[in-house]
Amino acid sequence: MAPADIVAAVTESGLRGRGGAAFPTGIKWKTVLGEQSAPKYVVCNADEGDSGTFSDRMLMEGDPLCLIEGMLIAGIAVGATQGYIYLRSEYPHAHRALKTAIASAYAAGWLGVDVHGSGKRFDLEVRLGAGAYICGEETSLLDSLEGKRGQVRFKPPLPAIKGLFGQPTVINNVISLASVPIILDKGAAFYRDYGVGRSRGTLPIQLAGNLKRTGLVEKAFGVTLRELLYDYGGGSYSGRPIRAVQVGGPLGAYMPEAQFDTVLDYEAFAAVGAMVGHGGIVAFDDTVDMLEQARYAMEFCAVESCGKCTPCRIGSTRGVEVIDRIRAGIERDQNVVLLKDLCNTMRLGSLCALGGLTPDPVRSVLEHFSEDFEARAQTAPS
Amino acid sequence: MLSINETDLGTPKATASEQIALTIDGVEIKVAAGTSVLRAAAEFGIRIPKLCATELLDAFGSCRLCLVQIEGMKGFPASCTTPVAAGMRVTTQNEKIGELRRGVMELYLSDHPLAGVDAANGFGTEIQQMAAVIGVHEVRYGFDVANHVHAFIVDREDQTVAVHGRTSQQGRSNPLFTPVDDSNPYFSFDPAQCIVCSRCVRACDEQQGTLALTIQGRGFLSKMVASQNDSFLDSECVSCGACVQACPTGSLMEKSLVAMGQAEHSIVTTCAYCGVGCSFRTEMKGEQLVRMVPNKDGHANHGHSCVKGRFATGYVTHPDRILKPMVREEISEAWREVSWEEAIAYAASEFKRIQKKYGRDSIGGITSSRCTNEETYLVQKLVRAGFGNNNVDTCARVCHSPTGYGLKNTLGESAGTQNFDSVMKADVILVIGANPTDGHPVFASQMKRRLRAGAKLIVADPRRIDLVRTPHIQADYHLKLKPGTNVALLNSLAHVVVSEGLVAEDFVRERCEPDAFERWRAFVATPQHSPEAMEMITGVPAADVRAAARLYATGGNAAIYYGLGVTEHSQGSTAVMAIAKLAMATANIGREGVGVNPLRGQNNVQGSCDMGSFPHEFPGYRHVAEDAVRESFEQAWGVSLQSELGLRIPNMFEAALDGEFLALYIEGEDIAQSDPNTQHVTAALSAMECIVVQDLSLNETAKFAHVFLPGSTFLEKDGTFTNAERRVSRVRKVMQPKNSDGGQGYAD
Repeated sequence: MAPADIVAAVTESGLRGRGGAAFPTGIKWKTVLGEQSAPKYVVCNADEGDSGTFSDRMLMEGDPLCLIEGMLIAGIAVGATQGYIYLRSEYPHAHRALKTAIASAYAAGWLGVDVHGSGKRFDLEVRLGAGAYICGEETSLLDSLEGKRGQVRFKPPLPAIKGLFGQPTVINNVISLASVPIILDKGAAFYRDYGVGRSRGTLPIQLAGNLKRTGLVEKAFGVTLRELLYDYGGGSYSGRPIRAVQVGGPLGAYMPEAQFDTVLDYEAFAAVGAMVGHGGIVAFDDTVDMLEQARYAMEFCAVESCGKCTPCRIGSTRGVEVIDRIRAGIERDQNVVLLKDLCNTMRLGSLCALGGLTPDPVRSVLEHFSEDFEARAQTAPS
Repeated sequence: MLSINETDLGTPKATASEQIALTIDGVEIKVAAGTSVLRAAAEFGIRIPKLCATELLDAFGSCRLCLVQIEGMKGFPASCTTPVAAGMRVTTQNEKIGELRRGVMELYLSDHPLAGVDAANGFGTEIQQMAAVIGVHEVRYGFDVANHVHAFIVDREDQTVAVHGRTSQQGRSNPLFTPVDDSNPYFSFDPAQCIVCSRCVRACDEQQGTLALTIQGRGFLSKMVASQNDSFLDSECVSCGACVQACPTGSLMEKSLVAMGQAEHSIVTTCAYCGVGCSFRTEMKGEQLVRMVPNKDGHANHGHSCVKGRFATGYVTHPDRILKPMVREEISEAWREVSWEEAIAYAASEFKRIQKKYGRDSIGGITSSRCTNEETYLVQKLVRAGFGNNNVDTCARVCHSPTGYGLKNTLGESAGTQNFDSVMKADVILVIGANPTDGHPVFASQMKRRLRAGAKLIVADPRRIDLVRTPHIQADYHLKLKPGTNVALLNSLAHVVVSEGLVAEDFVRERCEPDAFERWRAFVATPQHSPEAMEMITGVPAADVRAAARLYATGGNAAIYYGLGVTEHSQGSTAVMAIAKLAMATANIGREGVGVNPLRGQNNVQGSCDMGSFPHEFPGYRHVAEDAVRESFEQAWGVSLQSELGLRIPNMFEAALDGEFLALYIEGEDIAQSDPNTQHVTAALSAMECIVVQDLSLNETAKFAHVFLPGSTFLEKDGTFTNAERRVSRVRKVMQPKNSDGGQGYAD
């Protein structure tokens, strides 16, 4: 296939970025293909840091050649000659599996100066992260890959135009890239025929938290949250009612029972203030303290913020403090107003999605579980 | 902070010629493509709040105060990082934007000392101005919260102590607090006032290229540190002060500013240190100098400076300065303070006496490359028109006279071919016998910027100068030649060019003198000049010479920068000519990005040569032996002039030892300290009957002087300096001359 045809097939398949941002993969590739500058890069974001997510890990451990094939196709499609897998260092098994698979791909002539006699070059190597959640954000990842402190870059320029070392770069999540071989094997229509609305194809959903059967289930978009929790997850592990579900990692909104019939679909989730993200689902039963969960969102951001932009750098620490004050019953009403203002500042003012999305779980708690924000007897902070 | 009278437009100027039309707050404007929305607005007087943006640095997008709304774009894009687009409609102020900015500023102020009343506490700094512009009424987060401000955190019920912004010795100690770092002699760093905007870090990276500063830690723990969390003095910091200038708070601040408070006016002038000739704004309180701020409109320095230019002005008010004229009949006697009239009358009578006794040519003068063009011109005129001979020379004799001679004979002009900005278009940079990071630091920063952007570097120097290996820069070839073998190395480079078919034949045919060129080609083509043959002499491996020559000849725009390592040799002029020929043979001359670039030493070496400081040339390098030239000067000056060539500095010493040269007027030059063969020099000085030294303090030469005339610093006079680019820059009087005897004297 000609590069443009590969890009067209991926576009037609409706594949969207599985890392969570859901940007159409084909359009990203088309931008890189259209850039004249050389060299170009393909970077795989394997810094799977969201709580309750493990689909990237399982794929890399179980079928690393699928990812390598996807990256190779991406390279041929956009004219890139070098690929990097940015893998979190917490995945030693995946690291070993990838290294072995890459070595065998080189040995079989599928990687290197002349990919399978095509006259095209594609080299691939694994680089390890150093434990920063923010390096899962694509521009921080690129900085880290360049050997710098992982700090968010502003956009534009998009990485597709000025990415790794300032060169055009395809940067995709593991699952996005690993979805490409089947699209080329069975055709764009095969993949596109799964799904609902603008969410096409399938998603490996990771069930975690207070569920009977946690683990991985791959489903076409369109399945409901309730089906996932009860039909696949088997309901709560504790046997108590599921009170809240966080979908899409630590920055995803907490969904109440009333939203369990939401269909797995990027747009449907967005419509109720939630997000699909990387497809991680964490369930909580009715013993959960939702104020504590809201506080955790701020605390997580405070620990993981790159420290570049002010709303995220200072706001997350202030968020923890304000929630502590609410819990302690200090000027409760004023502090709830302040917390909402802070969420607004962080959501609209932050440089990247970490600061921008941190308010989502907090706001969802304020909206759906506000009873946990009522004044209560002071308890020791946990 | 930029200087008090400067406006910061937020992001660097865009250079595209294409104009983009857009609408900001209902005003239709046109700006160059590539301009940020922030700058576009600022250029038309619309001030968008900002803290992390400054026009001296690339946009960063961290402070989130410059957020705006743009039709068709979601959310609130930062105007500093958003380039203009045709038809864009921007709103910079409305209720929602205001609310957002207040939200961000409230966060800033929750981790910042409350308004201080003095400069040390950030009074009048950008963050305070922004807080006022944005209108933050209260900080609802309180003061018992996590912060970097207070050494101790007081409990909430006791908050009145912290509310008033004082550091209290009560409460629990604050692990985030770091005390002020006063280690640097010129500026202080108060981490409590730092807002982690990275302007200092970026200034150190982008402007200076030392990369001494960094942000350590993540999130709320992020803090700016020098090197590995060292004190500024122990770090890699070179004290250029770019970080201080970039700081929008009182965190990094000149100690002089802390001590004196803000200036009330500023005057643009030119630095008197090196041949870069940086433009500065002298910030003044009356006649007191508060601080020097490099002028962002300065064409040689673009708002940057080195440690000397910015901070080393202490000599102006140093107690060692001599402010009154002094006379002594014998150098064994003590100095006697006299009036200007008496000093001048004594010197004049001695000069006349000596000329009467020993002849017209028994006296002379030396001009200074430290002084203004106007002063230098006057000294050479004094010698030619007053003394009636051509016994005038300049300190450039021992530094860059080979440049003047060598370039005049090859290129026809006694100056370099490029301006400094030309380096930004160079693809290959060849540095010979120069150490720009030490000698010309501000230009070196620009060169390093280009090298970090990918230009290739060849260093020909026996020393491992910084440029050979410095952060993000590594020389492609370091030709470690033996001292004194410049010409041999240059000829072997030329040998490769002519013998490997790398001569730009078309250029040579069109631009060079055919006979002379062929003679040179045949000369350097001989086997004795091959890198292999020369290796024995130069000590440079032939393979490296060949590779470097190929790179220079074929690597795109190739520029040569050279310094005293080329000129301060007995074969200095020959080496300069060899450099010029190498450039001509490869067509690396006559456009931006190439050329032959002497890095002049002192601030006015170029100017002092231009002004006619050489014994054989009137101003403008016009030969004294040419009748027509001499007649024109005779007409202008109303005296008859000598056609006989005067004495060069070394000849003056010889003549003095021979008893034929007995009086010398030395303007701002310490020959006893800086000329080679010191014993020879001092013997010559001792042999003279009257030496007049004009300088700021009693230098080594003054030990042999009979008359001392106090000089004035560059801050005390009007005039011009001509820098290495041959850029003529104004020097302005910012204070009354300290040597003017209460305004009654002659100095100014």
